[in-house]
Amino acid sequence: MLDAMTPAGTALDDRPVPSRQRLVAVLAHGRSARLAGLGLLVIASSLVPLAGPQLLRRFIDHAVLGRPLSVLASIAGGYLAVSLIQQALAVAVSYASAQLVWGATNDLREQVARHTLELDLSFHDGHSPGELIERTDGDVTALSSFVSSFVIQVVGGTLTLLGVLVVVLLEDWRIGLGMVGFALVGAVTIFRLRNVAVPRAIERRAASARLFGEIEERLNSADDLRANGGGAHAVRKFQRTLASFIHTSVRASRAMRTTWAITGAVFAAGGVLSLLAGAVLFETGVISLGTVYLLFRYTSLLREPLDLIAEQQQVAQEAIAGFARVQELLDERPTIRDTGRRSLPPGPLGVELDGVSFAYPNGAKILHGVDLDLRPGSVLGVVGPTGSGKTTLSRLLLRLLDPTDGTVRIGGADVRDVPLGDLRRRVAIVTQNVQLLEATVRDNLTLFGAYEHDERELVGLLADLGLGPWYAALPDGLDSMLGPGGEGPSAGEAQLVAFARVFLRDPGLVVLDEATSRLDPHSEERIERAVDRLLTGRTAILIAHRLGTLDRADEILLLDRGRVVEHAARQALVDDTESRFAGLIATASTGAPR
Amino acid sequence: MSDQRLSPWRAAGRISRYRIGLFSLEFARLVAWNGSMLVIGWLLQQLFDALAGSAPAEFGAYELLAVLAAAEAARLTMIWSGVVGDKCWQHMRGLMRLNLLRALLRSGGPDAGTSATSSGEAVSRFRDDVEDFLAFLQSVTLAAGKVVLLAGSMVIMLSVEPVVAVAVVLPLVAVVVVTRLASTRIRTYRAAYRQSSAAVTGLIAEMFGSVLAVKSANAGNHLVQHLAGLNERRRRTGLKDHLVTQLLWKFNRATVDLSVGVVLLLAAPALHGGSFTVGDLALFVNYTSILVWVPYYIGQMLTRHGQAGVAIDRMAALLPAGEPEALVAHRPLDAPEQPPGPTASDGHAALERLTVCALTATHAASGRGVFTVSFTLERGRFTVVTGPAGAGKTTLLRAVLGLLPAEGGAVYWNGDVVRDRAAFLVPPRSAYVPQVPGLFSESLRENLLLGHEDASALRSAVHAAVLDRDVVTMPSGIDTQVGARGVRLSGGQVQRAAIARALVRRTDLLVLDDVSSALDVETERRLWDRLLADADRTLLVVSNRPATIARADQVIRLDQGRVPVRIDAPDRTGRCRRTMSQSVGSMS
Repeated sequence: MLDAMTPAGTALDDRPVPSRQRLVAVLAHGRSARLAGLGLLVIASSLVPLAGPQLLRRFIDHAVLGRPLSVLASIAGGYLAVSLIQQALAVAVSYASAQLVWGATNDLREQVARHTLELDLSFHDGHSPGELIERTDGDVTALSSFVSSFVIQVVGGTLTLLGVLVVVLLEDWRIGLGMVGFALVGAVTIFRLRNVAVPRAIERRAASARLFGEIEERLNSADDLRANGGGAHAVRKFQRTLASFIHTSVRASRAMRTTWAITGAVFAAGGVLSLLAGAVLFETGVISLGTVYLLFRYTSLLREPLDLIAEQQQVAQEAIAGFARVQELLDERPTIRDTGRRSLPPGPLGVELDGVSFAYPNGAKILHGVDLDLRPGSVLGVVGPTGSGKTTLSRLLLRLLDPTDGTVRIGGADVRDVPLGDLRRRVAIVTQNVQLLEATVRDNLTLFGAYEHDERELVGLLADLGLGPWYAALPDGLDSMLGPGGEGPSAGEAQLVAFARVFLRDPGLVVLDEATSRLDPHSEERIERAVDRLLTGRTAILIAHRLGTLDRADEILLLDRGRVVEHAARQALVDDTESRFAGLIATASTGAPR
Repeated sequence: MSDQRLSPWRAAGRISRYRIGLFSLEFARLVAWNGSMLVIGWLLQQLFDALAGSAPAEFGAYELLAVLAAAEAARLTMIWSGVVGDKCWQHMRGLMRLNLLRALLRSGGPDAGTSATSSGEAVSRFRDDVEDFLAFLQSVTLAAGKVVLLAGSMVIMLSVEPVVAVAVVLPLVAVVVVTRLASTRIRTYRAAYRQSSAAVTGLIAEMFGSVLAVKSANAGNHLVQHLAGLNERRRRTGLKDHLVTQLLWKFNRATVDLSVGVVLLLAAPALHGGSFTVGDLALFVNYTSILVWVPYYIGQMLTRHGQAGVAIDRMAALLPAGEPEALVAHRPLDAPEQPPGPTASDGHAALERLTVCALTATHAASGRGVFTVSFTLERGRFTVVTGPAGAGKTTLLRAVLGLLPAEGGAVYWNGDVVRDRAAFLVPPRSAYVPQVPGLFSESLRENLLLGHEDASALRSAVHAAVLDRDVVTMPSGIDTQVGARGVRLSGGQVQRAAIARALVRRTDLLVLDDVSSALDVETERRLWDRLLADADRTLLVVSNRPATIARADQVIRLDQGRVPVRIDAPDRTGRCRRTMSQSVGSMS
């Protein structure tokens, strides 16, 4: 399994497939048979409308010539039959396309969600969940309604248009050629105008994402605003965002209607010209009155797909804009690439940091040349004031960040050479901010089945962790909903649930980042045994403000502003009254009462 | 809420008066647009008659074609002037979103709304439900234009051939009836679709809101699989919704083709006899094909009426009970937003004593909460609420502050009962730092001030919250952008920024929920030193840290929502006597 031939640096070769292809591939993948079926339906449903005007022409010419009523009645009956077939085909096309499009865009949603989850933390730092909802769901939905209600109809309309041109050419080549010329002018106009309105629609879509991002963020922290009287401020800022959104969308609408009016002008001219030509040819006796009418009807048939484009231009342009934005999202590349092939050894994992530095792209330097060598099975306590880089250190171990300099080795392997899935299965972290999902207790524990376990094991584990009474009070056991819409556990209980998640995956290195700081002494006692069990036979890194939790640490690492200030055996630091660690212990125990 | 439903018609009437000028212009445009269709049909009739020579020609065919071209030019102008209508709709959307947001962020008072289930789902109400409702109003205006068209075309067709004219319109009535009958089903399907949509949006919000946990547990694939399940459910409900709506629409169109067939059948003998001209036939067929859209738009309007009903109910659920009208209440989009009204003026008496009497608040789902808890906070004292996980500490604070509805008990400010706690316990009386405080994507300064005008307190608040050294190291100091939800700051910095935010307001009472959990020992010690330096500051704090508890003047120990140690506290107010069954454990 060891593959030393693939250092992280050569990963440049596996350049991603251009996303334009990827996006279309996702949409069409595995659907060719159904696409073909839909294609046949569309062809049938777009050619049937050609029959209606033919029947009307016949009707007029026969009536003018004074043919018997029974002939006229059978033409009328034929007209009815054709129109019923036409509507039935339209329903079939609409349903089949919706079916196909839903499947395809659902795949795309999943793809985009998966891709976005793989992006770096720094990407997520810059994009609020609300904005990402808008981009994974809003944009994809716009794309879906675009394809189902627009593309299908435009394709159908174009087929009808081609049919009309062929039939008219057969009817009278002069008018036929005129119509072809006119259709070309129309198509070129539409094509050229496309670029007038689309940039405005993209602007509008971005403004809309900002608007909903802001709403999501405010609602998410509504308590903060309400209890501190900040609601008025939030509303004022929203009003500004709203004003700029309205401005942007009115601009987009102006651009859209301009293109609409211009294309409309081309086709209105076409309609008048066809009547003019018909009038001239009729008066010179070349065609019948019924044929003049036929030509007029066919011209308006040409107009229908265009009217449709105009009517749904907004949907179309938003969808094109959405398409661009989805593509842009898919073009984002995580800097943390999952290209490793090395496997981690079983059992407790050693940790080596070799001159590890970390700085954010904006230049803020968090860690400066940190060295560390932690034997498998030992327990390291990390202390330091807030902002000293403790949390960054823990994120490097899970490869949520990559160091800007130096190497992180776990179980002897550079973390960049280990598949992310393996690494994060063997290195577990519990943080202070437990993120519970709005899902069932079971899904919260197993993270939607990432760690499969049977019911008895799960319940037993909850009991071991002191969550027995909490579990007993749940209305539906493991199927009870957690989160805002369901049963809200207290912060302490949430912390215990996070512990349970770690137990389920049997890691070789456990990082507890302020993991027990939310727990009251009573709950902490309860999980003391559990923590002991968790740490047995594992390497552990305990990051803590409360020095009491560091009693079980073998070594202590004291960080300050990204540098290692002290690192020695715990007892040695305690005994050395000059050490900063001993000083901290003294402060904590006296507590400086009021 | 249920007995006070807001009907889509009523809501539509109210909001259409919001931008009455723009709305009237848009309406006039639609009427003119439909009128122009009548003109074009009439011109066609004249043209074919002129060509056939079957009628006394007032105009020649070429003159008629020139008029037709002019009419088309006028129609193009009308298309362009629809910008006015687009602007009107945007203002209406904006108003509804503003009304919803105002209600949800209001601290108490009669206008305050009810919290949404999750922010992801609430966003779908701001987006889709507002859209669904306005789509209804839009289709009302379109349908009204078509009714004008129907009336005009009827007058013209009746004057040509009354029997055929009546036969043309009859099938349209059938369409309206069928649509009406189908509306309940449409409503049910639409509700199911919306619900499954919200589940998808909710999960995506969860995914990205908990991205750290998801990434570090490598659970992305499994979440996406779960998303696939929800997606599939949405696909199925969406298809049903789509199919029913499509069937109705196509039924509408088929009915109109039926009308054309009827015209042909009925007109045949008259055409034979010469009382009906080819021009008349062109007029009838033209009008009938325009009248396609009459039942279409009326049907669409009725369908959307059902969908709008669902949307209004969902939005009204976010508004104060019994006040669905607030959704469409008029106000300028830039109306200055005042901090909660009535309370700011009602004589702000400095806090001497806050008494909580027999407060009971439970979570409906679990039955857990706090039960008949009573205690008193004296001015300048430091009270700590402590207890095991799930004891109800956060619930207690939120119930006291009115962020959670209480089932029983009362809170007294200097002996006077506080009627609307959510409205009263706000700055300048009280400020609050939740357990997981939220920062917003704006500058640190804006996050701290939240519109508070007195920036002079900023420096001292930052100092007291032990944030001063951090601010110095930030790239733009106090004007640093903190990122979405404050992600560019560390956990401890977010916590202290939230404390500074509460301190800027210089309130009498400060309520802090477990703020020290993200702080190291040294920082926390400095924090309490600085907070307690102000002898007038009254603190109500949740904490489990011995060092914090040791500094408290009073400790309230909660267990399973109750204060188990019963110590008779002196009844200072005389108001709590009958209800006070349990009292505060004191520690000195």
